[in-house]
Amino acid sequence: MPATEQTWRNQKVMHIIFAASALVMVIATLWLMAKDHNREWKDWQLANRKKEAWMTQASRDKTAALFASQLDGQESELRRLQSEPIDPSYLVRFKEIVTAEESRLARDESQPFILGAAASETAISEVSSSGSTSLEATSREAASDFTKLEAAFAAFNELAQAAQSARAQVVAEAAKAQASKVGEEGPGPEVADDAGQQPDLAPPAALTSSQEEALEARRELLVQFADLIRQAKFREKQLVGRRKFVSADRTATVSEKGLKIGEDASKDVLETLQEKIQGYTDEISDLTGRIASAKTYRTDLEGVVGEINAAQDAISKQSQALLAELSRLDDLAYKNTSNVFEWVTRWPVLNALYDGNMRIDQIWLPDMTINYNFSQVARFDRCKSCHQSISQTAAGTTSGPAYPTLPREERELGIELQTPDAAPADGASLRDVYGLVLEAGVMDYSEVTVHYVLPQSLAAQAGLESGDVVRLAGDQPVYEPETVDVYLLNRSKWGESAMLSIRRGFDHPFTSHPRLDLYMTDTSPHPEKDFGCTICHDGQGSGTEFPWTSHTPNSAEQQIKWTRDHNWFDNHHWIFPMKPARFVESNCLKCHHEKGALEPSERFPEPPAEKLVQGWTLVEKYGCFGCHEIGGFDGPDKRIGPDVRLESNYADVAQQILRDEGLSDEQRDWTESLVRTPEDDRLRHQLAAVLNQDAKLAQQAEIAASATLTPQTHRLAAGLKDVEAPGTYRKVGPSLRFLRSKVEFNWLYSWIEKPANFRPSTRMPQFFGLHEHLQDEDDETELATAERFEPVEIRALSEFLLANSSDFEYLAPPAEVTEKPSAERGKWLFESRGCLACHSHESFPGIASEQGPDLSRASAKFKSNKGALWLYSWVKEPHRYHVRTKMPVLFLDPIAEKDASGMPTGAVTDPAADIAAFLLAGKPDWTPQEHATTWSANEEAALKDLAQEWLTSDDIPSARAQNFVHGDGIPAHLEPKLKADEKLLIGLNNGNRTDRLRDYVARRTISKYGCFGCHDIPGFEEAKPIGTALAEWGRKESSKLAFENMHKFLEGAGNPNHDEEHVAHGHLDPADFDPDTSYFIQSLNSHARDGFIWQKLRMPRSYDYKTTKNKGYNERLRMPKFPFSAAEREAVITFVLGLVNEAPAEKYVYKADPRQEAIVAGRKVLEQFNCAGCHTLEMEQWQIAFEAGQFEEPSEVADYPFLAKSFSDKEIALSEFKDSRGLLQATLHGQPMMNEETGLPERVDEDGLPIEPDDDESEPYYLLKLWKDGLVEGVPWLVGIQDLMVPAAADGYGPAIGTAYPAWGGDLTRYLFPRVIAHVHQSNPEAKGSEAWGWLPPPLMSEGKKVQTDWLHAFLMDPTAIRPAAVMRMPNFHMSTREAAKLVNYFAAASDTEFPYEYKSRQRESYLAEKESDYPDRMQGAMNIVVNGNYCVKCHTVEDFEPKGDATTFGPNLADVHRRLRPEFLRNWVANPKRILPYTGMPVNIPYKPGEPGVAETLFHGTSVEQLDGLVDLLMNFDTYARRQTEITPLVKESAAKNAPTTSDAANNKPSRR
Amino acid sequence: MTHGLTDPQFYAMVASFLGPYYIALAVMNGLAALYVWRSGKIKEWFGVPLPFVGKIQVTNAMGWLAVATVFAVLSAWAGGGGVEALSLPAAWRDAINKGTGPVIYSVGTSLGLVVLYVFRGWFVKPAVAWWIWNLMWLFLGLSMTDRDFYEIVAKPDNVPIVMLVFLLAFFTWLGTSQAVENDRRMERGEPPLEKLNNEKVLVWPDLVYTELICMIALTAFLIFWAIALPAPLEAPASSVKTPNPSKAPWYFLGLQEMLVYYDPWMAGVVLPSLIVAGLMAIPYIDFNKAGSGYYTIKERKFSYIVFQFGFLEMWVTLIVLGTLLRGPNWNFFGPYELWDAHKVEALNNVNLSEYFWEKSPLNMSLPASPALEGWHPLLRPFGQFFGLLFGRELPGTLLVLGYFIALPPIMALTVFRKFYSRMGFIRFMVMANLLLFMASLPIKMVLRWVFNLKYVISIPEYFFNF
Repeated sequence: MPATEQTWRNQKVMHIIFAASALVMVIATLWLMAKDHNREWKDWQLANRKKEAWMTQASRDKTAALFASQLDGQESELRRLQSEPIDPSYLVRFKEIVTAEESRLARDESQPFILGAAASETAISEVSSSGSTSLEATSREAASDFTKLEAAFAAFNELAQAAQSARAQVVAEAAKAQASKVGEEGPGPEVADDAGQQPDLAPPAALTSSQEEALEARRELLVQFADLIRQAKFREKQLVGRRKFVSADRTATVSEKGLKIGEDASKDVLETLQEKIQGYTDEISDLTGRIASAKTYRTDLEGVVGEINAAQDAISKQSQALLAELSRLDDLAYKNTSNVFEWVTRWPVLNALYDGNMRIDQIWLPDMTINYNFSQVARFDRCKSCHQSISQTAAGTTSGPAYPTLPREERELGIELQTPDAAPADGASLRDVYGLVLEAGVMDYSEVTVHYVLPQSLAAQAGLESGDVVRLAGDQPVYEPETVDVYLLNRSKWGESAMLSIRRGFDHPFTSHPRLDLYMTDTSPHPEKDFGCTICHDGQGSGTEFPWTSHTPNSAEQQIKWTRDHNWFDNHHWIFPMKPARFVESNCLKCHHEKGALEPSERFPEPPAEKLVQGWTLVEKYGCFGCHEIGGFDGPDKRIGPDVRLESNYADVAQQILRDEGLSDEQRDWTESLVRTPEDDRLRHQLAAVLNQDAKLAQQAEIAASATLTPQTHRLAAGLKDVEAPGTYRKVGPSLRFLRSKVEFNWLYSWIEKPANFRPSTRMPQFFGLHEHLQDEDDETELATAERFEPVEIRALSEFLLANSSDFEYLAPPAEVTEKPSAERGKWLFESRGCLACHSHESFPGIASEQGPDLSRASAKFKSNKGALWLYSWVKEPHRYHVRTKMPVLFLDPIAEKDASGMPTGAVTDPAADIAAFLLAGKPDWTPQEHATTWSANEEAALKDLAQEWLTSDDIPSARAQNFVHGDGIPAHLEPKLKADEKLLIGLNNGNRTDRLRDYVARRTISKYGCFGCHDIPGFEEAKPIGTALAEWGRKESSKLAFENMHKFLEGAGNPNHDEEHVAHGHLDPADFDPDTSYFIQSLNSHARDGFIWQKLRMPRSYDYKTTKNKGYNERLRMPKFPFSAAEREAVITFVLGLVNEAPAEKYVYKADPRQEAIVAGRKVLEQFNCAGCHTLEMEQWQIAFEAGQFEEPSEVADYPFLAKSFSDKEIALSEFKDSRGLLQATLHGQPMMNEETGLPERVDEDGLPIEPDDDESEPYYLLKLWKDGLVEGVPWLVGIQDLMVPAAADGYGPAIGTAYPAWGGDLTRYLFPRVIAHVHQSNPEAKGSEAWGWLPPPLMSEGKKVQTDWLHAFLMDPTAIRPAAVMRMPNFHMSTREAAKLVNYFAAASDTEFPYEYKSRQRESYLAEKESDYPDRMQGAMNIVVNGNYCVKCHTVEDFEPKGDATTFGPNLADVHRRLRPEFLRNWVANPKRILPYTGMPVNIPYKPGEPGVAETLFHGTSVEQLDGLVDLLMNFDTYARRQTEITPLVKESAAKNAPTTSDAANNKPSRR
Repeated sequence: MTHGLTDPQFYAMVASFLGPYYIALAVMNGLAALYVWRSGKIKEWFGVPLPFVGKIQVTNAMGWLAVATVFAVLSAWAGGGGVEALSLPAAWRDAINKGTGPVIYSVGTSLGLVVLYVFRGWFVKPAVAWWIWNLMWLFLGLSMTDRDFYEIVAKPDNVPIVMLVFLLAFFTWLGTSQAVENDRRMERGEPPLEKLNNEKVLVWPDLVYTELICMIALTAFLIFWAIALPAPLEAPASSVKTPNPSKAPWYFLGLQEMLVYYDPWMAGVVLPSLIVAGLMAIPYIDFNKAGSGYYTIKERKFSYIVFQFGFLEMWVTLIVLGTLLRGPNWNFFGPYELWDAHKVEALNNVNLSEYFWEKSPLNMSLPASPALEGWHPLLRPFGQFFGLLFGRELPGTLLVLGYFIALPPIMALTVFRKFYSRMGFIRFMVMANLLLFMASLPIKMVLRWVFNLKYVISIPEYFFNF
């Protein structure tokens, strides 16, 4: 068929379709580009830029307003100065200089210029010479003419005189007017001060015009001066130019000569050249001289003119500085404001060329990797793209956030604005009256915002700040500034305050990080460029959209809001969702593996991770690690997280070995030693070897009989093996090894059943009766099973624990005791001997420590005879019963009672018995329920059934198990195949059935519930923790968590808000709960970990809801319920969620320096033994803000120079820095003065007198006793000189402005302070209350500076009594030497002193010899001071000498000081004790007198410094001194004489040991 | 997707989709009514006497308009907050969940195919097809309010499968309706439709221009799709944690499903190769000259049935099954059933040899593998393999051999007699074996579901299972 033009389809229609499809394609493309271009972060960035520009503009405008008057003043001042006459002497001097120069030049000219020998012959020289001379000649000609200058000077001075007189007139008039005004109205308000100095606010025209004329003349004059100077400059320049040419010629000639030498030129040529060089050299030196004089001349002239203008220049400079600041702010505002260019470049495509100041703000962290399963990938944190201000600090601070992060509701403030006393003039603006300028909103134009506030204005006093949004003026909503104008300017009553409701600050993401001291900033430990954001917060760092960055809401309410506002959704594909605010601290654990590193420190007094530390502490306190191992190691030394694990069980194993009768005496000795010092590796290895050897013997049939130990003991050898990276935590519960000697069956039964029955505050969790998940009707059988078996378990446990315990030897009271135990004495002893540091008791309200149990009900527990015996033994020597107890030995030795005069009465009391009597006194308010001692038939049946359940397994089917249990037990031939517990059931008969079954069930039950995780139970030394290990729980796959039927449970039985409506809903709606609960409900809905653990801690058994039917009784969940409050639960969750085993690269993991490490390690021991219960370890830290001049300067004290404290310039500058409020800051360490009767901080009035409780008029102050030298407004305040009167907060405790961070430790000391005073006053009403601190446990802030490390170590291991005045002694904690060493290092590190060794130069022989070469009897002289009745021995024991009088004033034995104190400390202490311990009663004995003696020279001749030195040397070398007094030779001779050898082998006598 | 959403939040989300969705359906029916009215295919059903106006004839156009109105009302309802009520009754959903068990699903779809085939004349009627079309969309709309259904269907990578279902339905109808029309025409002795417009078409402008327009339209469509449903981000890949369920790309879900019934070497290697080989062999096997260039069923019954069975039943339904009905742990889930990873199915599968030896009246233990002590070590495995094949696995071996060797001659002699005579031995044998291989999959599926049959021949010692 031939081709035709005919087409198949209508081409026109095709064109239309094509056009339409092309159009659709265009739309699609544009849409694509738009979608690609419009990114969420851009909106946030633009908004933030707008905010920044606004804030800068506000600050610029405020600055401009402040500068305006200053600039005006400077301008008129400049005008005044410039129109003042000039002293004619300047002119004279100027002329003199010119004339002198001219005459000098003339002189030079008369001596013709000489150019060396050949100079006149060279044309160049001639030209140059004549040239330069002519130059000078011209200048001289012009200079000599002064007429113009003089005329100008005269003209100016005439006009200036006129201007001056005009000004004087104006001033006089103004003063007159002012005077009359003052006479009429009295002193005016603020303007009054300036008025006198600024009369020319509006200068009259006459003055202005005369000034103008004068200024004109002055300019003319300056031109004249300048002309002359210019000529001088010109001449100088000519000369310099000339020298440059000559110099170049010289260089060229020198080089030519060099070349010629190389070419072997003739001597003549060389000489000629040399001469030429010489000529140039001479000319250069001549020119140099002339340049110097020309320069001097010019600078002299300039100097004169400069002096004339000096005052004006200074003022101009000031103005320049102000203007520069303004222009800087202008620039800044401009930079933050978008202009047309930026706007255009932000368009699609164009923004590829330039981003228009909109860019993704990205932190690249190549070493801070994120785990993408198959590889570790560098992090890109783009969070700052939206959170632009996150690291911005407030102006003038290093860590104050520029835009604080607070929820909206906390930012709604009411402002009370004082109005002026009288109506302002008509037309006055808010700015005039209140110093307040308003504008449309920062982020939202419909809001009214405070643009700026003038300092010291009414608005500033009310606390309004730039950026505050005014929401209500009075009751009226504010939408435009006029509303506020009307409200504040048209008032019926003036002088009262007006109310403004404002909202301060911004919402996310415009805020700054709340802890810039810890994060983001370069001075913080986590600068953003090194750490980024997601390592701490998690989330998808490379995301730039709200939903894709995996934000996590903190409550259901927030989730709903986010879903609505930001398209939030739960992206469960991202395995690192951001931590919600409540758990944000969890991630600290990635890098911080020691708790001490996260606790408040001096540098960061605001707790860095409070919730996390609380959780960590709870985990330690409640012993979670007993069941759940929290391993911090991957391999022997690679840390992956916190390490909270049980210590190796060596002590318990050793105790179990002791049960073996076959031990030899030596083996028994070893074992007993190992019980006391389980850390002794050598001993342990020795013992293990013995056991293994014995086991080997037992295996060899022929010599088996020679094995002495039982197979059980042999097996224990495994428990003595070395452990790689052993745990460090002791079991939290008491030992049950000797339980029989302590408690009765009924009490034990009740305790196990529900510990809170007996002690509501106990940490022991509840194992039984947790049936909240079994309440549904169809779970009746399940509930019945629980109720049938649980009592059997309890009874079996109780009986087994009592039956299985070892024998315990009670302590008998010492024989010398004469008095009967007295509860009354016991009460005081209990209070004053330190029991309250760890225990609480209802008799002592006001102090409650949680280290040990509450003892209020002790009488109910120990009412039996054996209970009392046990209690006595326990109080006196706790380690006897429980070797690993933290309870110390309190040295409750018998007390020989003394009467009022201090003479023994002959009565001897036993404090341990008294304390026991006190604890047992009174009728118990609670008694355990009585339980029959025998098994009822029902119970026995249940016991059998339970035993059968336990026995049933794949190997032993149920029916067979039943036969075993009811019949003759398990046949003996099966023994090799049986597990340990099952062997109990071999050979059952009716006689032993119940007991055997009971023991079997009890042992199985203990294994099931893991009782050995907290208690030492004989026979379970090697049991392993029963719970899930938690080291990686924070990343546990949620699909591996058995949520079971939790939703159904929470919908129904488990929901406290349960009602029909919600069941009908079919789904748990978190919005129905309070925010905290809603978060977890939501989390459970999403099957997340945090919801799981929350419910697990709340109702541990509830995951068994509806699953029990198809489980054996023993397969049911077993986790007990701990008595956590909701907040504590959340803290524990925070800790557990942080266990992720994701330690980042080595360099990011927190690595303490050795000093910090010692502090961190020490803190753990401090906490373990509760040192802070008695001792203050850190004083309170007061960060106060105050107005300049608040504190008077402290009184000057003449003191030894070495006691002076010097502060760095930086510290001083910082203490003088005024913040945006105009306040100064100071950080003070100390504690306020306490009332001696109440022991509470005393509020005093401005005279330092206590304020009566009903006095509400006096301004309250605290008398802050400094414990550390501080800087206040640049002035040093030193310890022990003067107390600081700090204005007190109106209500509550703390400074008026600022924060008082609490002291660390010392609760008992503060509690006892008023009580010991009262107690001492009973016998001695004269005793000084202020010294009472000295009778109590001392504060240990600078213990490291004070004592020698080896002494402290020994003291901690075995404390000795030091101060006779102390009411309680340091107890013996039986700590290991490692623990003691950690404490010693801690104290040294915390006080920043040398450790572990310190060099004590004062004790060196060479030092003493050198000193004594000048003053041989130096030691004796010092001894004279010591033994003089007025000085040391007045209060101190020295060796055998004891002072007389009131024991409360006695000091420690001076003979021991040399071993205890560090030399420098001792010197400082003796020099001025109050500078170290502000409360001390010790006086200054050797007052500082420069060049003069401090004490009588009859005792020690020398100056006060030398006397002090001598005394210190004596005390530091007391043993040396004492040795010198001892002579051994006569003793040897005497002895030799007495025992003269009678036999010949006397020489072989062993040296006698004395 | 709906993870962590409360019910009200979920319904709000669905409502924002269903409002426009029902509007679109209303518009679709409105356009249909318009088409019917304008194309003159109006059918007057009955007259309604109305006062003042007189008698009004109710037509099919008005019927479709009424349907459009119903959808418009649904849209308003869904958008107005009543979306929760706009779902299939719970009882229906339960019934559907129950009815989508493996056996009912596969047997049901096969039966469905038979019904569609037998009554194709009725189903291809435009009105009937349009009704079905509407019901399919309505079913989807009403199901979307179910969280579990939504979770599967709205997942961005499952959207193509949903589209596929609708497109497939449409194109199947299109082809079938033309074939049915042609068959009718040919019965009447008329030429098929395709022969009527027997004119030539120019490459330019007709073909190229059309292609260009299609290209542009398709590109635009892909862009819109990409904007509306961006590719989803999932968790970073992990070698220790696989997603549950782990699903192949949607077009491979049929192959993945085969893995359930066959050893990987069969399902992953042999059967896919045979599919490819079989498709290549079709031109050589096909001896039927009829039906070229036009749609017909009657003239190509065998080819049509085999293709529809192989494509629709063995490929598409398996994809739908893999998408909609396979959940965590590769368990079967109804479309409205919660994908709970903790669901456990009791699947204790038994080999044929175990059935034969242990669970039959024989009641004896499995014959052991021959020891063959005296054999050369290189030969021993072969000996053992064949020993097992004809020893322990004898019943399976016989069955398989019977299936592939004995069945083709029987077929040639009985049902396929004509085929055999026209194709000759080799062509017939190839065809018969390919057919048997294809049939082996449904057979194996049914055996697995009904008898828990694991393998017909099971020699795990040598990785040989069939």
